[in-house]
Amino acid sequence: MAITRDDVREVAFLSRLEMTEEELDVFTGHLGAILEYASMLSELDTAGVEPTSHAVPVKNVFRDDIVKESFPVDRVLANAPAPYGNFFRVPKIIDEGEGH
Amino acid sequence: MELCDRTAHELLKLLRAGDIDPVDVAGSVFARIRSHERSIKAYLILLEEQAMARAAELNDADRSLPLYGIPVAIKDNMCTEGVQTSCASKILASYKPPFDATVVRKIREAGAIIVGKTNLDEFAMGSSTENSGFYPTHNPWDVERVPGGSSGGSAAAVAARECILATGSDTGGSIRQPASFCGVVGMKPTYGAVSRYGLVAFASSLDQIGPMTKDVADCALLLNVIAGHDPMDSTSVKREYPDYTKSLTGDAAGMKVGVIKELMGDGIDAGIKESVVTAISKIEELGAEIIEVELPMSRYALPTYYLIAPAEASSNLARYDGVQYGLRAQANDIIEMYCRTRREGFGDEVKRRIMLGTLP
Repeated sequence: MAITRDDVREVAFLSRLEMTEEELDVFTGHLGAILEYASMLSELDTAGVEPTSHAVPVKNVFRDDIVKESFPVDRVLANAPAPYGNFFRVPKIIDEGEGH
Repeated sequence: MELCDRTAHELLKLLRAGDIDPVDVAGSVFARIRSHERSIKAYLILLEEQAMARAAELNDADRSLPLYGIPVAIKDNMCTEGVQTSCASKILASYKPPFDATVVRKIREAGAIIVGKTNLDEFAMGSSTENSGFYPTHNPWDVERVPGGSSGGSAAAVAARECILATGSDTGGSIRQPASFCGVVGMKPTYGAVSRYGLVAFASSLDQIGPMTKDVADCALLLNVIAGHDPMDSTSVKREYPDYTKSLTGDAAGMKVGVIKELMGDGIDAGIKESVVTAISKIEELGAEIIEVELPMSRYALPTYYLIAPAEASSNLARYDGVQYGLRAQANDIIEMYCRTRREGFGDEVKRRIMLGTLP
């Protein structure tokens, strides 16, 4: 199944990537070629194959519930592009015109 | 032969005997960097001042530390407290982590000196170090050629003797392939053997950190330092970790080494094949039994990687949104801010893999 330009437009938005029309064309070609290559996997019958996520069975890793010091706020905020007091400031999320 | 040309195990003997000081070794490494780095560009950042101060301090330290006075290069996707950790991406160009990765902490505690942070394909996505968001690294054996990747900076730094040891990370060959391109030793340890705490995540079910060194004895030496269980990485395995240097007896009797039939067929360069065949006969001379094995599924490994790695990368790289750290583009609302930040911050290969992994 070939991937279309509209598919890529949708995926770019889901990926939160701004893209020009020219870039959409280029990426449609690239993604199509990779998907076509990966389609050889459909030859395989994996019905009886158990999924693997680790070479060693490690599960339910818990630590003791001991309160420890966390990173000081100022050190965490030191990398923030727009700190505001103890917060991360961001552009507006809700349009003021859409009041309820 | 300069001190920077020697292996860590050779230098450790000289350092422990008091024949040389850590300052001599670090000085030799930085002299090599000054004469060669301009044409190789293995590093994204050099820490000469810190390194020389540390080397001087080590005069009073315990000389039996496993990496006492050894200059080590760190791939720039491993967090170093207060020092740039960019993943060779514009989106993290200004990022200074508030903590050390577990491997970095262990390397420091072992008495090593951090030389600098090495170049890579952006977020470790690539096989040539040409996809760095800043500049490509060149192969020290022939600067017209690529060093491989994504740990191309570390491989080139070891090969050019611009460090004594280096760390790499390997998701789909990113230690092993550049090591082979640059003629150094590179090893991807078994998943779970080395903590990834502080390694910037690419594809978490595949990412491993490993040594890149001049010889196998140094590889064992560095693996001894970085391997081990870490409660900060829930995939790290709790077990006994052996002293890997003890295995280096020179005797391979009783071992069975498999040669994968499917990987020795068409498509191998004649020179490479010859080297592999020479290595096989060397292993046989050392007493190992060579057997041919068949891995008929091996042809599906790469297409499988192209589904698994991008899917995980799509999730892992969702955190670069311009809110908490890294680049932020100017925009009128938050969605536009996310989309523009990621457009400006990521290179094409990273965008390609994120989208591939986001496809329904």
